Amino acid sequence: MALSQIFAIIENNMEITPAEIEKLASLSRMKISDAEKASFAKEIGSILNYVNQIKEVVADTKRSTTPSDYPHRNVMREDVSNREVLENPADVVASAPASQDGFVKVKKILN
Amino acid sequence: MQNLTIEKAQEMMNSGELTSEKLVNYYIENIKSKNKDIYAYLEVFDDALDMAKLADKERASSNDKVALLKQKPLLGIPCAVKDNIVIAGKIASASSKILEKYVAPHNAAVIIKLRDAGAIFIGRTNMDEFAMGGSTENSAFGVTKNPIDLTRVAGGSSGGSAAAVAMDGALIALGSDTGGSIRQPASYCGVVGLKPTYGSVSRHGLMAMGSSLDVIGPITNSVRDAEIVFNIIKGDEKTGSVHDSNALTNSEYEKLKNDKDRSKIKIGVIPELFNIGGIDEEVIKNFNSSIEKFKNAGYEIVDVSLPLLKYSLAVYYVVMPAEVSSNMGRFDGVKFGSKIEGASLLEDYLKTRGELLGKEVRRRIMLGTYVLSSGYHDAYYNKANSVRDLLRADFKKAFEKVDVILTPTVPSPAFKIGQNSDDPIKMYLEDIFTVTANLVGVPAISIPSGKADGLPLGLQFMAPHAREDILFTLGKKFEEIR
Repeated sequence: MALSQIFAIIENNMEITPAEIEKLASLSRMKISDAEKASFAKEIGSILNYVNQIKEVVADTKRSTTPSDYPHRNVMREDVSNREVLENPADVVASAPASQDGFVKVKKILN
Repeated sequence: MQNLTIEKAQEMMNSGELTSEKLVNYYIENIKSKNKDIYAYLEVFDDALDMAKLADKERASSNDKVALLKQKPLLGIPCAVKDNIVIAGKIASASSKILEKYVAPHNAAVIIKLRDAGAIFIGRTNMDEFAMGGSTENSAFGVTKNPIDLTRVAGGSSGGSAAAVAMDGALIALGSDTGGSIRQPASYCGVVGLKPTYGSVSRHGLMAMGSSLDVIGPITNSVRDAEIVFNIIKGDEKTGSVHDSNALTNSEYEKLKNDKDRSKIKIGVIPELFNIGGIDEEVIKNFNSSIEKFKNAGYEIVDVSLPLLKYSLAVYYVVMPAEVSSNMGRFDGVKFGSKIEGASLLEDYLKTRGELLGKEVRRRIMLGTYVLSSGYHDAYYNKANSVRDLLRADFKKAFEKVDVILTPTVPSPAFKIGQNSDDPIKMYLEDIFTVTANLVGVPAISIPSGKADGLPLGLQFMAPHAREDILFTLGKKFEEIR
């Protein structure tokens, strides 16, 4: 039995627990209150129940997911100053939450 | 001034009957009196009048107004901009607390193109936070109300842009559409909304939500105006100064069209559509009467089968949150906007994202994290992409038979504020007719098709890739016969 079929059986009635929400929140780097954990668990469970219907469709998940009709190319430009787009580097630095002497300020991560 | 169009305004400005300054003033006065109730605008730009005066000067000093307008078709035309499209030196908040004070250091490609075409940016409009939602109820700064009925939503996520045009607060507006965010509010507010072909308009300077779905498009009073704006913003050809564009070039766009002769437009309808359930009686009645009108005007109506259509919404609610969870990673309290200070870098992230991102945004980030996590990736994300491929193939086949497919834009007229807010599934079902065009990448337009109990309804037209021309031709016809 393929893994996806096993998942399909397990997940026919999705229940997401507050503990799983906590795990998802931690993976997503977001702190979430206990009250919100319960409501997120209910809502995300009901959304997963709804989207589970895609499992009814017979489709090969190894297929290419590239829309073949679309022209694909890398977006390149010459390595030259582009002042229209980046009028003033100081503005970019200023739009960060914290800056000092023209640098973006971040917390020390090594002790 | 009501029911003004771009061409009519240009005619009046050329003859001296109107000036851009007067036009901007007219809209600013309207905004002053209506915006406190409707809340379409987050901010009206204080330099709009100065820009209008400059446009008037430019026109007055030109000896060849025809040539001037050919070069600058939007000279002096006031345009509202959705708050997720950046304008250099202006705040771009995406209606989120995390970007409440963020000042954009550069212009979006569409802004450069519109500015070079002479448009006046009049203000930035309210939206669902980071374009996630269908009612603007997810804005961190307040709900945009429907100008036709203040107890109802204006739709979303481009609710502010649709309401701005509908309340006579701008002649044209820009929105963005990931799953219906231009067409649905346009339908709710009784205006025209165009979602162009995926990739035809540069996304440079649009805050990314679902990168395989997102597209910028116009909201206007008429199909002709949507056509004018689309022709200006499309493509990546440098209009003087656009760089770093990621849009299809004109030749790529032309190549996307297949060479099938589509000069005699054949209309497709999807019989399965009405088996989905939950569609308002009035919406079905209105849709059938629109089809009848096309029949009477001599168009051939053909049934097309799209058996996978009923899975569109489920596919969308896997693909979109997956892309959202990835795109939203950049908002970490280091690079842009605001942050909440913690004891460590990790705590900075947790607090900043946990407290400054709204509930719907966090819900979608977690849903995306779930469908992408190891063990579920195959069952959800890969599976959804495979079904998306099949759906694309279905559409390709359907467009061998017909040149345009019609559906209602939304299953019901604008709902009451608060009505769907505690049931995400009910809210998501509003997108059922619109998400497919985003998944498949085809262009679609919503055009007002009548009213139910005084509330506007919209008719959605979908055409093959790069065939916006069919939407415009048939859309203008519909404006005559509706």
